Amino acid sequence: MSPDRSSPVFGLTVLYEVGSREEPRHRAGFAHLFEHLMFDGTPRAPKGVFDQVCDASGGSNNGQTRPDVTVYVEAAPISALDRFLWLEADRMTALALDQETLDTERDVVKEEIRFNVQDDPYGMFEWQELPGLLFRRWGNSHDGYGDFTDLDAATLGDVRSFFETFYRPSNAVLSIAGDVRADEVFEKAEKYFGAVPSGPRPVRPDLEEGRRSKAVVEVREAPLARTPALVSGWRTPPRGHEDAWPLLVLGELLHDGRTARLYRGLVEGRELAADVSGGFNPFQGGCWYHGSTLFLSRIAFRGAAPYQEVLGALDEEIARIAREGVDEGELGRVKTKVAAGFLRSLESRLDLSTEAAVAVAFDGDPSSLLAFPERVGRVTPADLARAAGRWLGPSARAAIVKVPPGKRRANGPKGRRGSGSGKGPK
Amino acid sequence: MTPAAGLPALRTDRPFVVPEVDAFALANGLQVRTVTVPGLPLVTLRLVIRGGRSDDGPMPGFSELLADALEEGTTTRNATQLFDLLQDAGGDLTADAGTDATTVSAHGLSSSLPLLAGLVADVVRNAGFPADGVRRVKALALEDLETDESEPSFLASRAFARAVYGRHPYATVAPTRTTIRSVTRERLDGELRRRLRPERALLVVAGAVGPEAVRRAVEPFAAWEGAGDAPELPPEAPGTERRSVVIVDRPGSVQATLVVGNVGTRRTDADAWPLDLAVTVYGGAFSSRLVQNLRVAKGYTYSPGAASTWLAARGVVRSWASVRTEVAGPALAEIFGEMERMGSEEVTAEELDRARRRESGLELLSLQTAAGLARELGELWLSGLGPGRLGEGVTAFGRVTAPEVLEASRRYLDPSRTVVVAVGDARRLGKALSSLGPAVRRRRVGSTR
Repeated sequence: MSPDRSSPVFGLTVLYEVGSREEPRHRAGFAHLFEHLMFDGTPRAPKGVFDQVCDASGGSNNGQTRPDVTVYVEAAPISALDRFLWLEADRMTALALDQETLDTERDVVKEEIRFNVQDDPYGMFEWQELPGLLFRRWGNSHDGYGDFTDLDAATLGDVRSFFETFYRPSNAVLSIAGDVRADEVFEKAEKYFGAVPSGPRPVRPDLEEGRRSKAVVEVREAPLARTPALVSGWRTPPRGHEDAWPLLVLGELLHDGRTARLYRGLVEGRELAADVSGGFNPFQGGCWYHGSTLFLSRIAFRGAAPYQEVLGALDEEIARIAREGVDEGELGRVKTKVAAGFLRSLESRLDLSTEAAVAVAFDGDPSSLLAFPERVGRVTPADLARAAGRWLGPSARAAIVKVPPGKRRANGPKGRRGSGSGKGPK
Repeated sequence: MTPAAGLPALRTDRPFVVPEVDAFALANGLQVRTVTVPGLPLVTLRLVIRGGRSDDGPMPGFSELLADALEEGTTTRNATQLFDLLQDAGGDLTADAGTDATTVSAHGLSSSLPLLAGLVADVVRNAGFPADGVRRVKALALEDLETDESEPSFLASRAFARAVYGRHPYATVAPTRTTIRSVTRERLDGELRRRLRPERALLVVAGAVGPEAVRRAVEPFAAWEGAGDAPELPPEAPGTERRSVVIVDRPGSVQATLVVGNVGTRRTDADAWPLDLAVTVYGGAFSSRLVQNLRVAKGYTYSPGAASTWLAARGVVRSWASVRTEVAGPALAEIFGEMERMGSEEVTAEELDRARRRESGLELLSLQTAAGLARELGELWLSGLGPGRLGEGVTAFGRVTAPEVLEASRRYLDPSRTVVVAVGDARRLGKALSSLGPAVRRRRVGSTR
């Protein structure tokens, strides 16, 4: 908990250490479907109560399913703290779901996928398709939104077993920031959560893969798109590796804003790209990851440019860093901005509570949060050169190029394993 | 409310202590407001200049290009130098054109306040519009438009604004190709002087800085001046008096993207707060009637909702939902049904209380950060209200009554006076919506003025 008496509000995060990487095989998308079901009622607070209480308390709430964690967040005036603690403890104790609720929520999730993926001109390909090409192990490679077959197969039995395995106090972090005192919060946590039955802490599967040894590039048709885009991804070393922090800084140096190397090189200089984005661990952000994660660059490119030239320009920008390093002045500016951006991300009570929960989940210690600027500060030009050369080479990449209908020929030959299906291999 | 045995009652609210605002004006008319937010060593600057798309008249969307071009450097600093300095200050600068205002924002470490203020002043006073920068802004705007036109949400917003606002300047949501091609350095420079002028502007500084430091830091703004005749404010937007249906064809679309609505209010209109609560009960909150109906009970959609906006010449009230095409007809019928119900009987005491609490709570939450305080001070000023009104939303909702909510609903949530936009595969959509009567059909997604 982190007290801040300047505004009569609080932010609250309950984090469960399970995400889409750990969901059961043949149940792709289950962790996310389950997140929705957490809002659908308990024996004591039937369906509809959670959101009614939230609105009636002047609060807002959300849930997010990520590869390694699922977080439930609420922000509200301080008068509502007790009832939100009660609601979170209540749904950690037991859910009350029937077949009809499961079926309706499954329909909502399908609409979410139609909305965010199927109707999106690029099918959110950097999230939905890249992992399937970049990784080999199912935990890393499958689509975390899930396909409709797997979603249809989900049963109430699956719901019960997922809840009992992963939604236990031993696998959860409760974090609160705002207009509260520490002793008061710990007392309330004991009061509301103390009696929730616990269980063994689940063991995380081994999902390490190491660097790719061979490049793969696929061209896929995007029937709803009007301009081309590509994404290039690389596997990263595991957490704690000497190259992990340098890659995080490198991600910002290459992608962040008007100073980004890729903006200056590809949008301004060569005029190949319209927009660049990406970086280290982009699906979760910053330090939210267990084991290894991925690094990616997404480039919306100008219609007339061949994709090979765009990939070549990206490689050249990275190779230049591997070859020459980065001058101290530029690195210093990047580090200042990363550190200031990190402080900015802690401004709202809710974001602070979430980041503190994440620090506990991944580092076992909320104060690791405070070490962030210092860890960034220690990165040297030599670290960047080494990390770029080791991890972001052209031979270690998996890339997907999305082309609008009728533009494929102008953009070079069809990919080796090219498919127009718009879905990555499973 | 559905009972939940054991749910703790709300405790007493703690009062919102309105932060002190230091307000003054420079001799050239620029208004300045400072809010000190202790804690993190950060500062946000927000320069709000009256006039955005509202000024565009015969050049729809020009304001957006002008804002983009402001980021291309000044007469003494090119874009590279400008953004290197900002990065070194731990921050960034952006210029954006909205409907009623153009905003230049900068943020960074509070120790860099003088630098950040100097850069914002440099950008609005001395924008350089270099040839390569202008060329790139135009090329990227064309690319962006092409990409935007593949998005159903963009197509829906564009068609909705056109249908609701007609010939009013608010009818545009993005630059047209004609506007983009017509941009020249001379035109940018002329419009910059005419539109971006100190007597039309407010600068808010919020963060870990004191009023004295701000008074010193804003010195570079003293020599700012406009030229030529300032644009006039647009007339009040009339809104639609009948129901019309627009179908935008997006062949291959998986869903139907529906937007339904009409013109709404200004912030200072008597029915502004009642309408906000009406929309909250109707579709603005997760526990609202529309969301419970379309998402929770029927599973038609992930994304239903409704909102009202406040604009100087009247904002909009709109509902939206993206649904699988087969249920577009039934979903619209439910939307009309819920609108009808809002206008036929008073909301319950429980609904009113829930909506009041939700809206005032969210207001409180939005004021916890420097950026939130700066945004609200800017909005107040655009509506002609002083800094003394800061935080008014925390208490104003509590005074709204159920009859006022009913009256606002009758006026603004009337299903017989509304625009209906549906973006999707027209062949399938036409069938699904045939019961609504004749529709205006836009054949090609790319068709534009």
